[in-house]
Amino acid sequence: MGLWTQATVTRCLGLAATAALLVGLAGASQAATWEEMQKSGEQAKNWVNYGGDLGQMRYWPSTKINASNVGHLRIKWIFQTGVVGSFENTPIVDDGVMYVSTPYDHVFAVDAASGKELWHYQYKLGKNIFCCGPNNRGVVVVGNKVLFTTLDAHIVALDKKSGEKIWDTEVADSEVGYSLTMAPAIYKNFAIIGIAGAEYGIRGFISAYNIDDGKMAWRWHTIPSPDETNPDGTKGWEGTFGTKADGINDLHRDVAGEKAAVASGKGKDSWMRGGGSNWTTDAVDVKRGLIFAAIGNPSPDLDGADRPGDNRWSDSLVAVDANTGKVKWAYQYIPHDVWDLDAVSPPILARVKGEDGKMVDGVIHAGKTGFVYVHDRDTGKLIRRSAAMVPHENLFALPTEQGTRMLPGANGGVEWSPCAFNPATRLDYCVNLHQPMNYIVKHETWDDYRKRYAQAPNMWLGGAFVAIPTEKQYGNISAVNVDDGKVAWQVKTDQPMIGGTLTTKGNLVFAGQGNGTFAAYDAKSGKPLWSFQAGAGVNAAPMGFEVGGKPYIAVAAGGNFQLNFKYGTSVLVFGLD
Amino acid sequence: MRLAGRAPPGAAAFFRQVSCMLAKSAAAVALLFLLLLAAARAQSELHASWLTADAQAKRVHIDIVAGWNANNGALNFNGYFTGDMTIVVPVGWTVELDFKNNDAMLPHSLLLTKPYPPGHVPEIAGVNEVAIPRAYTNNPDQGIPAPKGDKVSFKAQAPGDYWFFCGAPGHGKGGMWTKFKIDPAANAPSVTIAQGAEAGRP
Repeated sequence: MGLWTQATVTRCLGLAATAALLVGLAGASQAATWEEMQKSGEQAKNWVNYGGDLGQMRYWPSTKINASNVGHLRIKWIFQTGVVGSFENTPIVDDGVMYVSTPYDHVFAVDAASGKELWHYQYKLGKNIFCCGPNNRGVVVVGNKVLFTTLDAHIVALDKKSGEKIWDTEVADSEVGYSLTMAPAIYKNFAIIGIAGAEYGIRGFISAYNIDDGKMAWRWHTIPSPDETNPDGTKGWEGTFGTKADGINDLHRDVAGEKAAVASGKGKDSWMRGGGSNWTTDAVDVKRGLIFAAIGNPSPDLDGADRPGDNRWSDSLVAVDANTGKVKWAYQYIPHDVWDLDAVSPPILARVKGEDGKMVDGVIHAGKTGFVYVHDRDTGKLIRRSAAMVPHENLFALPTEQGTRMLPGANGGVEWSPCAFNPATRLDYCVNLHQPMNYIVKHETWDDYRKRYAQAPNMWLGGAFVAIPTEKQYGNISAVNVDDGKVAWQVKTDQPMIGGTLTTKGNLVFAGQGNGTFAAYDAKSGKPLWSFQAGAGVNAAPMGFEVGGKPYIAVAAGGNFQLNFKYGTSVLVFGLD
Repeated sequence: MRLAGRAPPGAAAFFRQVSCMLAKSAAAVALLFLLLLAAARAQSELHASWLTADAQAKRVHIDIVAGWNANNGALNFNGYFTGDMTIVVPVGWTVELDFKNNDAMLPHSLLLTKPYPPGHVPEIAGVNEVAIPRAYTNNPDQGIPAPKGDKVSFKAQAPGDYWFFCGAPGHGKGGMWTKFKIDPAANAPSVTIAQGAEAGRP
């Protein structure tokens, strides 16, 4: 009760400060205003964006928890959502209140000091078709609103004080496979989101919505139409028939056959169902007015027969004008992907060492391929690609009807799990999976698929991913130096890793595992320093915050659908004694 | 029963009514016969390598692989989906299911549920949806990841139509179900495949 009173007082003081800002007191900043969001990486009290700062470093700038005292971390409170399902959320904390989204799109507000529930909003789902679990990875708080997206492809704004709905906008038709699982990114007065559904033959896009009324401001389709000009001057999604990934690895494409197919008109309208989801949160560069987005696989996943060409901009990193939705540059990791190795882990903005050794503004992305990619932020040029974080065998061998064994498996490498970058150690911390698979291709035309879909809404994979029972699966936490591409350290785990990481100014890395272990590691060496058994899969990215000057670490512990880690419904909050 | 409740008609009227009823019944029987014939023609028996029966012990062993091949985006049991496979078991037999998941991307489960009419197939199915006691794999609403599996054993007691159903979110709705029948007229287990079904496990 005393803590609640304290939190209330804190919020009241916050309101007063907001008023002060409005009357023009220069230098004052307030929770979840656009001004504060731009500085969110410079303070340890609030965590208002999915990835911490707008550039998504997941770097908590607090030294209050560090190697000398992390061993004293104790559970402070547990919030049980009661909603069972794959729990992939990163909590948001704004001025003493924690906001949590759950599977099936519930949102809770919780007193961040005590864990007491303040309000609960249950979104009434319409028809939802989703491939990989009833996920929701988080909300964002801006001004007086909590924004989140839904499995049936809506974006919703709630009043952050009461949990009452302010507006609800349909983003796309969920009946045909569109869905949303990502936390929105904020740029000025826009909430920017992508879309999921590339397992159902959707055409991906990124859209901006006005935060005040939920009206769409712009939309950029990730799959260009035939008359659309790309940043390199080409038109459409066929591209230049690249034969190598990053100019290094042979993709074993039948370029002559693909060109002949294009010339014959085969697949001429395939772009309309070309996939290219943007299903994790985008990074925001305020100075440049750009967002950076990871774009997912083409449709169908494993069968490229009816989509000749590079299938731009699937499997790409793109820079898009946040004011207009115009694409500035795009870098395609895997032209004509037939392995579902989409770009999905959220991009990170940070200063990196350029090719000439000078520091430049960079964009970092970790791929399902198991590489960490470092790009020039102005041009998209690949500065370097790291050493592989997971074993590679038979890389980019084509799927066959009988099945082709290839490493990595289709989950990665790095899946949707956000990596965390520590500017002090220069290391990018990523969790990886090692899942040997056989890749099988099976041709199914769009028309045949739609007939099947009409009978029972299901995925258009163009094949299957088959496990190899005799081969062990495992995971790792990898620390990759973004300035030289070397893997500085790795911690191997018994199970494949999915969920994400947090790094801190206190020289720590936090990550959870499917077996319920939530652990802290020395950021420089990877030495395990502390762990806690959560009793359910810890398959979500942690975050840090402060209330009353006291530091806390929070993480969702509710398991994972896709990897079948044990369900729970807990948000765990740790503090020092 | 409804006839018994009516006022007694005259003899001629009575016979006319009986004749009419018989004619209607004959027509109904003929229609039913034709429908059954059509249904029978639409199925073909599969001598399944993955089903073995012990008539003396009244026990049938069935191997089921989820995601056996790429059919239906791997949402299939032994390659079959959307009701295009029917397993028939006589009343009183013990059914032993050996379930394995082959699908490296998604967890799957198998439950014996009641048949669902179109538009009423549930998004998720758990223990509450199981129609035959103990006839489900572990964590039915979450599934089992590849390459793991589970063993299920139950007694086929209540005659009727059931479904093999994957309870993981969206999978049953996405067509991951086949038919299972406990038939008092059957003497031995059998498997039939709907005509036009995509090739599954032989």
